Amino acid sequence: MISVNWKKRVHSWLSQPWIFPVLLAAVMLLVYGLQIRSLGFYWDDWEDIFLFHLKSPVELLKYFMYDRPTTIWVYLVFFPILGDNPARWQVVNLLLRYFSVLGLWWTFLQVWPRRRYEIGWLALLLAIFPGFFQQTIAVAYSRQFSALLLFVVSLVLTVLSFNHRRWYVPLTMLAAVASFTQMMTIEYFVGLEIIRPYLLWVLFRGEIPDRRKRLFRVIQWWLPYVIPLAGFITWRFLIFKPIPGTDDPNGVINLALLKKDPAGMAVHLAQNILQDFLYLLIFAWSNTLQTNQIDLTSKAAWFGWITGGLAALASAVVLTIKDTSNGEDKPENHLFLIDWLVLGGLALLAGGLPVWITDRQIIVGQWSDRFSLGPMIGITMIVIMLVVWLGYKRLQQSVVLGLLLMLSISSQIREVNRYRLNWEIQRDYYWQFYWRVPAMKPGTALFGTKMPFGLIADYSVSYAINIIYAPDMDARNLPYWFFSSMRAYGNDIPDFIPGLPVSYSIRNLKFTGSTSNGIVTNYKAGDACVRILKPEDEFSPFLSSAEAKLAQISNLDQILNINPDPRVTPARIFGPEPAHDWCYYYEKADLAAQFEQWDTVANLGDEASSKNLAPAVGMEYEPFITGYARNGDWQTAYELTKKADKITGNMGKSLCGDWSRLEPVIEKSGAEARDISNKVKDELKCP
Amino acid sequence: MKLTDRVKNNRWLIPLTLLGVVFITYGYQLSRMGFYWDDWEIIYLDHFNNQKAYWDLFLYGNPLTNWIYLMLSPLIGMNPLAWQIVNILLRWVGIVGFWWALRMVWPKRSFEIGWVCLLLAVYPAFSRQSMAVTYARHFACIALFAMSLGLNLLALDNKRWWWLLTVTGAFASLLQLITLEYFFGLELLRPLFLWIRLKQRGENRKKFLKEFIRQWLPYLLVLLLFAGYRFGWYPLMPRNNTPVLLQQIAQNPTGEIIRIANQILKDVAHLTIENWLAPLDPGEFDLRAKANWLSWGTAGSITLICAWLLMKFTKQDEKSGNERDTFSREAILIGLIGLLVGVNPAWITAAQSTGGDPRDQFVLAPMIGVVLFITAAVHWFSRRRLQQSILLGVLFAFALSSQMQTVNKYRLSRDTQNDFYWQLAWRAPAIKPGTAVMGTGLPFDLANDLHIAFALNTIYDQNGKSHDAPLWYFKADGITGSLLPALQPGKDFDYRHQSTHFKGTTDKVLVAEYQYGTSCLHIITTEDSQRTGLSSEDSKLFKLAKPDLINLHPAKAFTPPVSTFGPEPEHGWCYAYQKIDSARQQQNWPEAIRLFEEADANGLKPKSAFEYVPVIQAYLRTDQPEKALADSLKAQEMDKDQTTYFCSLWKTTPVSGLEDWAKKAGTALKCDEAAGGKLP
Repeated sequence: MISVNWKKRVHSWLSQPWIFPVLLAAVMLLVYGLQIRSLGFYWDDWEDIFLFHLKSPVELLKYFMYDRPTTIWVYLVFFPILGDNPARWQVVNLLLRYFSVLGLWWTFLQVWPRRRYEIGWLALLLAIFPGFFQQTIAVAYSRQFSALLLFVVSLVLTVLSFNHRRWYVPLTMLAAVASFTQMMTIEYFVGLEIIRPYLLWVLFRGEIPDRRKRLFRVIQWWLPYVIPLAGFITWRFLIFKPIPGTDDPNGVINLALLKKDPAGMAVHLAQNILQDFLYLLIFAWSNTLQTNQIDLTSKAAWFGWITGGLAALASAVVLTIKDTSNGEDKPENHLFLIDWLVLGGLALLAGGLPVWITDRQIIVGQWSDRFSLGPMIGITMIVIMLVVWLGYKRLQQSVVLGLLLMLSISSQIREVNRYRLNWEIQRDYYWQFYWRVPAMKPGTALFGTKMPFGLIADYSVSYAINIIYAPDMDARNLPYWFFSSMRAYGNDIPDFIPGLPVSYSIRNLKFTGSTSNGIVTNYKAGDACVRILKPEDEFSPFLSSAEAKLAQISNLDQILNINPDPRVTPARIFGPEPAHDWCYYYEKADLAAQFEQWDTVANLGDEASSKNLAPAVGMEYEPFITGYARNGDWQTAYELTKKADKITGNMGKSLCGDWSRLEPVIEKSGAEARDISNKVKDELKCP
Repeated sequence: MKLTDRVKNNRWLIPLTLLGVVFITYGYQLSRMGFYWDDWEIIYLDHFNNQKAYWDLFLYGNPLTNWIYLMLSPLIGMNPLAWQIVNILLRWVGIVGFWWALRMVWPKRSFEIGWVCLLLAVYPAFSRQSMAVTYARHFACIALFAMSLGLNLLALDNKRWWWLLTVTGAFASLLQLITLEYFFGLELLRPLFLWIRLKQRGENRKKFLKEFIRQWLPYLLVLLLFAGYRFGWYPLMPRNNTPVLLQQIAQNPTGEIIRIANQILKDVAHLTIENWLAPLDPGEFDLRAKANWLSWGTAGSITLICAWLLMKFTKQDEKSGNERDTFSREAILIGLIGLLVGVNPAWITAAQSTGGDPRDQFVLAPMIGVVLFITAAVHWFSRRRLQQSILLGVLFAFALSSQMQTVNKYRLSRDTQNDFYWQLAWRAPAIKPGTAVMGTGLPFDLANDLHIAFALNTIYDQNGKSHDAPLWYFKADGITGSLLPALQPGKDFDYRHQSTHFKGTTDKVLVAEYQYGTSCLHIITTEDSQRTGLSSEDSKLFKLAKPDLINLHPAKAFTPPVSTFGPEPEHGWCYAYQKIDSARQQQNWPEAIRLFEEADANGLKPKSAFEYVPVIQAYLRTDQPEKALADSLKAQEMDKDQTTYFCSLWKTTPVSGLEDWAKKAGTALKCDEAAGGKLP
């Protein structure tokens, strides 16, 4: 009796209307939310944060004039509230997605009220859709999720207008405005407008059994939404013109080519669509279980699997308990499956249309999974429809859908963790860079030997550096720019020799500099500190011949010893200064060595030694070797030389160079210096 | 009797369908297949015409595996077509064996077992069916196991024939175990199948256990016999597949257990998911490739036919919807165990089946477990035949299409290989013993330097008696390191591979360069080291080149055995080029010109710019500078990057009285500009 009551109580509790929204929120919070305070800015986030720091709505508009001028409302609304606080952006982006999914769930429930099971799974899978892994690039994707939310709000209003005919006019007007705003924000979801007439078709099914009459009514109801759609098309294809001299970055496929070889182009397009379809239908889901990602020693992997498993179990229980259809073979079920097949197919094709007509693909390019946002709803509906049709009963269906959910959750959790680790690396990089370079002369080009870390583009580093070092920058004359030099060689950087102009312009932003006014940076996260290379580093280990050549143009005079502007600090974006580890002492010693403050170098060395701090690579002992030697502490210089040689093989040539540059000092010092110098040269077999 | 009933009652319908499937999938290029990868090892052994050669070599791996070659090679020789047919038939026999045996275990599940067999036929994790000679022993093992299992199960209900069936079955089991140990894990499935079959009798526990032991005991004894052989006698021999797992676990228990658990998880995911989805890879979907359309069309048609046949002509178990679904439970369990025990030999020898193509051999043993698991999982998920057919049909169709595309790749490799060996034979009727033939890289896919060496000895050491090979092939970057410190003259080296031995020196190096389709085979001369853009290693190699190691007038000219290398190709440009280059080697310049002009008159043109070089040299040597210049310009037109090299020919060819022409050529070829780094 007690057990029956208990079961009833649980059943009634799980049947509460708020249970699913809470479950959805919990899943999203577990996946994206737990690390919110440890996440930062990535890739195109930096573009937006940089524009915020320009403090000029005019420049913001000019920047977006190149592709999506009307998108800026998102930033004009959000920047005053969120500023450059990464956690706030994460929260907002998550809320935008949550309410989008929840709105869609509610809308679909109004259309197919007996299909809680399928619609619930749809909402859950959309919330953690494994074809899109960039939720944490919150600033950049706030545009997409704002647009998605507006689209869903517009659908909600349409359904409300259906349910409350008295309010048809105001609700429809509001819905049309929301629809128009979402299209003008970003074109990703324009094609999804196809969902609305189909929903109306299903809504009117009970009311108007006659198909012709129903079609007429649907068209009548849909007409108010054709106006914003037509408005957007007019704007995008007739009114909007790219800035003279530039190409439309989101331009449609070459029409001339289409006319010239229509069959070839049709095959090309068909192939692109087919490839993306296969990816979305199968590989987006199966990639969550890639064998190379199976690692039983990874805590994040365990956390992901366990969380995913529990979430899948909870979801299956919640969704099955309120299920009234039971997935059996009934005509009503068949009609529903056909609805989802047709609507899913239409939403998939129309959702992907803005991508495919620009000759892009989801499967091509590092950041291209963003293109799966449009077709996401359609493909998830198809996947669920297939599982329901192919699966025998709810148990079988729930096992498969639960597995998909579990694996997607674990995959997203691992991805969020990757972003968290990347933010730590970014913080390390910029703080170390700041310790080494307190200020720079305007016009300084940063020649990176390579990209310092992942999840960014080279312009991301440029934006971050300007935000830190140039509180009062001018968009047309940016003081600093970062080049990934090996990639820029031969184009943005004509050659690694002094005296050549280097410039970079992106939209309304411009940097002009010279190969004579650059500093060369080198960084390998986790393996070494940030290193500013100098011409003397020609024989430094781990440098390729091209990087050694690049080091020859590093002009350390661009670095200023003192930061005259208290506003110049990474603290605002990257948080308080990290605890002083080895890299702090190395950076500060290297800076002091540059300005020949040998006492400071030795003091920093002593302090680091007293804290038992040591480098991971021998090169980081070099400023200390020179510093101690210049201070007359030849024995310590010798010991550090030995340590450096021991830690990093192949350092002999570089260390010989250090000691050879000390020759004038050795000359002036006593016999001890000469003896030690000879000993070093002997041991290192210096020429 | 209606036709459909006649078909339905035909016990050979499904086996014949399976035969059609394997023959269409792997045999559609039957006459155009060759030998690949480790096949060449067997071809090489066979060319000794001495059975002891097999024994000597297999002593290093699986000593008793050679019976299949000793039995078959006298019958079919080293004919690629025959080996392809044999391998396809062996695969088919194995599949039919499972069709027969599994239906005795689950008599009401012909439909599902039919799909098991279809999936076995196209199992996408294994892409080496066309390496027919090598894998004949593997498929023989699978066939022997399937037959042995069938005989074992048949004996259960045949008291009269029990002894005969059991002895034959046990012998088949023993033979498969001693042939290759890859499949010993499958023997662990036998008691499970017996258990299920005996359970269906519904006898009391005592009787059941007694009968179970009686039926399994003979096979258990065979297994123990094999264990004695494998762990007693076998370790006394030199080998490279030692079971090292236990040693590793003893050294580092926690770390090794985690590592092996990780490996097991990866292998399970790889074998049950990744391999089956790989044929659907969007990147492979090229709508413009005709070969793709052929394979998709064929795969689609075969799938529809097979699905229809299975749905129409296998017994519909009407109770399947309501009765306890023991099939899926049992088959999922056995499948999973079969998968794990199948990969076991790979794990205990510290190899991994997920390691890609070179590890392909490890995916065969878990094959039956994998397909049983997948089919049973699909059955559990869908139950209804249409839905099951759709899910399994998609997997089957894409796997089949992928296998057909793989066969086409093998066919292309065979064309390339034959082209290479025939051109070499045209250019080099004999090669001096002790010559190391070297290349800058591998000239074609699906064979490595070792296999090319075997093939060369098959051609140039016909009827050889000794394992001391007269010549060997090396990939330049493969020889430096353990064998040679650097590519320098005057260095001796001693190469051993199992029972084979080659003693060479860097003073006896013949360098061959080959790019199928875009050039002929080039025998490199030291002058080629002047080419632009050579890496320092290639340059060093080219400086060692000694074309004189080719004996152009041997007592007996060697030609590739037609049975192995196919008939001599038509004489096109590359034939002419090899003869021109041979004339150059003999400094017979008029002959070189005659051959070139004859080829030119027949409309044959060089494929690469370097093929003009002997012609330019011949014209220069025969005082025809205007023609030499004309051909230099043609060569330059084909490859502007090599302008400096073509210019150098005018300087290095020691002919007096051509100084003015050399200047003219320098101007026409823009040699100074090219030397300054600007391409004309």
